Amino acid sequence: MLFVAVAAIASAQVNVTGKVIDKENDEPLVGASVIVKGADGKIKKFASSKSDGGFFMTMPSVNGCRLEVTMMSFAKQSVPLDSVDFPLTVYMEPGTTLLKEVAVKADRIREQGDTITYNVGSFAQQQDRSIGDVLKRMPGIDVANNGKIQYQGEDINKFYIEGSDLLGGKYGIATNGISHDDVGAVEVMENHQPMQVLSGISFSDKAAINLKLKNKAKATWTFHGDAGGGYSWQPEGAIWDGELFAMAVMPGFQNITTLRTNNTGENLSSSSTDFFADRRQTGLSQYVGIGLPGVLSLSDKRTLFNRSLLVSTNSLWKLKNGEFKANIDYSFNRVTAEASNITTYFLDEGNRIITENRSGTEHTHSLSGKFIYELNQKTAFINNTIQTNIDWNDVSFATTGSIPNGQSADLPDYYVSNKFKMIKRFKGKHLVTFQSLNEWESLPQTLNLDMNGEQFRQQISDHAFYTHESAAYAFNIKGVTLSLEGGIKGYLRSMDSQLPNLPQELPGLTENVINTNYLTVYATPKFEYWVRRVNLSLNLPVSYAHYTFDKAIANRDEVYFSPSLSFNWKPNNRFSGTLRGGLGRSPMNLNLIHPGLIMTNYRTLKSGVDNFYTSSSQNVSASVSYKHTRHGLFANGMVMHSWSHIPYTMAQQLFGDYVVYSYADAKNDDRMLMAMGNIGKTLDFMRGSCNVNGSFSRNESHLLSQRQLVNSVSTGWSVGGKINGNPCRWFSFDYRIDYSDNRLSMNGISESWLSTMENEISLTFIPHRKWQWTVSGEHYRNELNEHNYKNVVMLDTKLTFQLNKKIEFAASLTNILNKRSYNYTTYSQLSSFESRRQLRGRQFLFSITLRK
Amino acid sequence: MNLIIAIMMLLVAFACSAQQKAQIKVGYDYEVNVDGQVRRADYILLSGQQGSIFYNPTALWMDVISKDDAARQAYGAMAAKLQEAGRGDEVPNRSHSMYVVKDFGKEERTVYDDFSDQFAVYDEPLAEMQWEVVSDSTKTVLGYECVMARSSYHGRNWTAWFAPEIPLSDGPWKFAGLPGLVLRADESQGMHSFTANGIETTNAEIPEMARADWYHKEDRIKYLQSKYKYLQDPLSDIMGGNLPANVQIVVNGKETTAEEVRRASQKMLDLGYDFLETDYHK
Repeated sequence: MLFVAVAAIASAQVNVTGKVIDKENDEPLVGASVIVKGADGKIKKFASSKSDGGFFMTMPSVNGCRLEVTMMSFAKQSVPLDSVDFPLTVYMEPGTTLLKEVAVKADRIREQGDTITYNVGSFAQQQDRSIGDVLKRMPGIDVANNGKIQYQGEDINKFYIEGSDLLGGKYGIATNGISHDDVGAVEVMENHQPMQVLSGISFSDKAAINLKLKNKAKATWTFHGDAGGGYSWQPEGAIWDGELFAMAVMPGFQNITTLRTNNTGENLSSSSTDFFADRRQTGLSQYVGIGLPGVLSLSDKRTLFNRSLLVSTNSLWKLKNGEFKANIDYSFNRVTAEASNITTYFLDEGNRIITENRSGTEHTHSLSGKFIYELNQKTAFINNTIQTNIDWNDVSFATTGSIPNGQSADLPDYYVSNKFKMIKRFKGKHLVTFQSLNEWESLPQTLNLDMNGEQFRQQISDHAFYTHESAAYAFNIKGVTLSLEGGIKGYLRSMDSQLPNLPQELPGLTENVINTNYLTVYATPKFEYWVRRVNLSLNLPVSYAHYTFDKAIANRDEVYFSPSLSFNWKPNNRFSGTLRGGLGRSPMNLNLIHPGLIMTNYRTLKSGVDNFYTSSSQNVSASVSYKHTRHGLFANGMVMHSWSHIPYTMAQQLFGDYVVYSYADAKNDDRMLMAMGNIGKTLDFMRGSCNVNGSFSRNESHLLSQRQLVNSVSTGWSVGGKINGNPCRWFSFDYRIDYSDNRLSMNGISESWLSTMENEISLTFIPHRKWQWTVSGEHYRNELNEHNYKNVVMLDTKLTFQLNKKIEFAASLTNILNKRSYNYTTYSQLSSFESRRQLRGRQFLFSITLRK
Repeated sequence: MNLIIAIMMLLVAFACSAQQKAQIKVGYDYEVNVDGQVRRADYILLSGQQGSIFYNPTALWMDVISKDDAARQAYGAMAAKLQEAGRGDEVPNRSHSMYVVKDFGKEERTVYDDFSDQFAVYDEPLAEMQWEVVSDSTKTVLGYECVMARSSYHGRNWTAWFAPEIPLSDGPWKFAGLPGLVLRADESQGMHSFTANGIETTNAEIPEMARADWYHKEDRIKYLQSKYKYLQDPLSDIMGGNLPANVQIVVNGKETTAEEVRRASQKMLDLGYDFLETDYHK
């Protein structure tokens, strides 16, 4: 009896055996996972294939069971075991094992000393093209609409590619051009001191960004190009969008050359703006102001009617001593705009309608060259920069309606400068600095006016030369640096203007022949204490200036003292806090000194001041930043309060249809409070990140002019948030919302709060690794006056097909709903005001992208 | 001369051919909970068709740079600077330096471990770890449905959660032999745990042990016994154990005293700390 039972059990045991073979080459596969699942889908037994591909399991019964064989990079095989004979042979065919990827946290953001490293691959999404697209998703880093990069709320001070500063402030060329696929990591270097000779002596609260390229993009040329063509419904006609980008990053040589052109509304200025440019000390500004009308609160790509071209070539050679750089850019922009305003006055004798149509065209050519030699060593720093910028702008503008007229202006700008700086460090503690800066600029302006059949022509010539020579000595003992800088600044400027036939009703001079010159000697003692986690820096600049105005107004002598103090505390690597304060006096804008009238546009004229004024200001600010890189958390906040006191104000007088602005003595006190905060966090569970920001500002001014006190307060706040993620392998999304509210009060009477809200969403579906489909759109909700909202919805879509790693095709349809205008009407008790602006209509674009 | 170059080239070619590609990269949090005090470390598993390596990225980086004089000097300078700035705790250190290298063809794993100046290496068959699958219990880790499996291994009772969707018979530390990747493993006392925090496909090469030359073959039990003895009196091997109690020493960037080190170590043991394997207590 017992014997029978044992025999029955033994006979019921099934040996599940077999071999796993690679079908492609008939070789045994080792390490495949072999599972026997029951009818309920649960794992009953498992094994893995051995070095000969074999597997062996014993089971009481295989009734209703299935054998599953899986292995990475092979398609899963499933065999019902009910009626098979053992040993089995399972052939595995190549296949993809698709994983839900979640970036490995340890590597997404890393921190080593002052350097934070972001892994580009773990922030990039399918639809991203340039490294700029990915930077926007990295918490702690903010990329503004114009392309400027901030880290923890502060502008960056350098942008490096593999440790070399090829582009200077025109890093938009890199962020818009370099493919994110060529970048392995983005490094942020906190408290970056670009001049090695100052390291450990002079504190920097700014951060720099360094792009670490992947090996495949190094020591070779990389190219990519886009060519696109299509049709637009408004402006009606053909459209194009093209880009060529070439980059070489070699040990001794770097080059980026790019050519971009489009008429699809893409503003190329973010690629050609120098974000590190110092303010030109020649201080010239255009008197003529006939700007094109814009559409408020809608993004450029919806409203810009352009034809743009940008060519830029940038090279860097590493020499035996130092490096030499040449940056040459040319850009062309043709922008057109149209606008009409219709004002209806509801009068007893019948409505009166006044229409004003404006349409204009602006051409801008800009050629710039920058040639830099730099030696950046631990004991010496030398930099010489020669820069030249030539701009040719012309604007023509036609206005029809109540005062029909045509205006055109020629506004070229010529600028040359040379900057030299040398710092030498002796015995580790002593620093000697020499600097020389020379700038020359000419800004001739011509305004032609055609009105009532009469021709007016105003010509202005304005040029200036500025020179600044200085020497400084500093020494450092145990973290304390004392320095003294002394120098002279000289400025020569002459301006002539002529307004030939002034309309009769206007009083005043029509001619200006002005010289505004000064000579300043100055000394700046500076004290800096920097030990461990604390930095304290005190600046005490004193200067004496002698102004001569060639009889236009009386000559002047002034003494300025503008002390400032800053304190930084960094108790650990996560937290940093800074307090700053300063006060001082500064001269007025010398451009305002002109006794005669200058025409700004067909109905606005300005006359200058008849006295020399100085203004004074005070400011205090506090900022904090916090980061926890392992949690991917970045936060910063800032509060600033400033006061300014200006002893003059602008006055406005009407003469018939003309408006004349002039300046008068007044007590003009201004007080501003501003606060902002920002928190960013990685969302690892969906390979995404999010960000919340808020700001508040309050600006209060008291103006006492001709015994009239005007007290105005403008208050505004805004909140915004954005989130992006890649929750599953076939889908990713980006969403952004911004809301702001503003109010103006005058002498205690408040207007209502006016809000604007903007939503932007983009959804990308990846049904197959070669196909990609994006649907995106924006919603704008602008409050025109109390409870009267203007809503605009814009929808776009794009389909991309990647033929292989080198060729990609895309078709896009923007503004699917074909919204062609942005019109709104506001009502007051006695009138209505209607504004009409044009928008870019529906457009279809087909493009090809090639990569090497 | 040419012959030497040829041989060197051959060796390089050989070394390159020995390199294998990983298919998957998994990040793990390794947590040690001693009486509520949790210490964590990052570990990475790079796993391919033939084998895998489980390592701490900082330790790997330090071992790689230790072979290059310039890099070693740069590290020294950085460490000194951080120390000087009072940020010694940020100096990268090898406090988590265990490596587990698995070879699926040989069905074997090689464990590299060290304490103080003792570097031990030993091989074990992968099959040593026997699993019992509890198909009824599932849990989601990183979006993957994982099945529970239990194993009693070298003195501890482990509960592992593996993802059949990822057909790799691998996991953190020594874990292997399940029909899917282990994404989480806890031991019954709640002292040691491994949890995956990220998973990526990759085609990175599986790095070789940078400093295999530092390690000596050892018996696992004997190694763990001497490691435990070391914890009981951590500085005994320096100066014959006659270190004055108040001598200033630096441990992982923190200034401390010998007495302090002894006390901290003793406290850990008093609170019940023990290694991942406890079968060496005999």
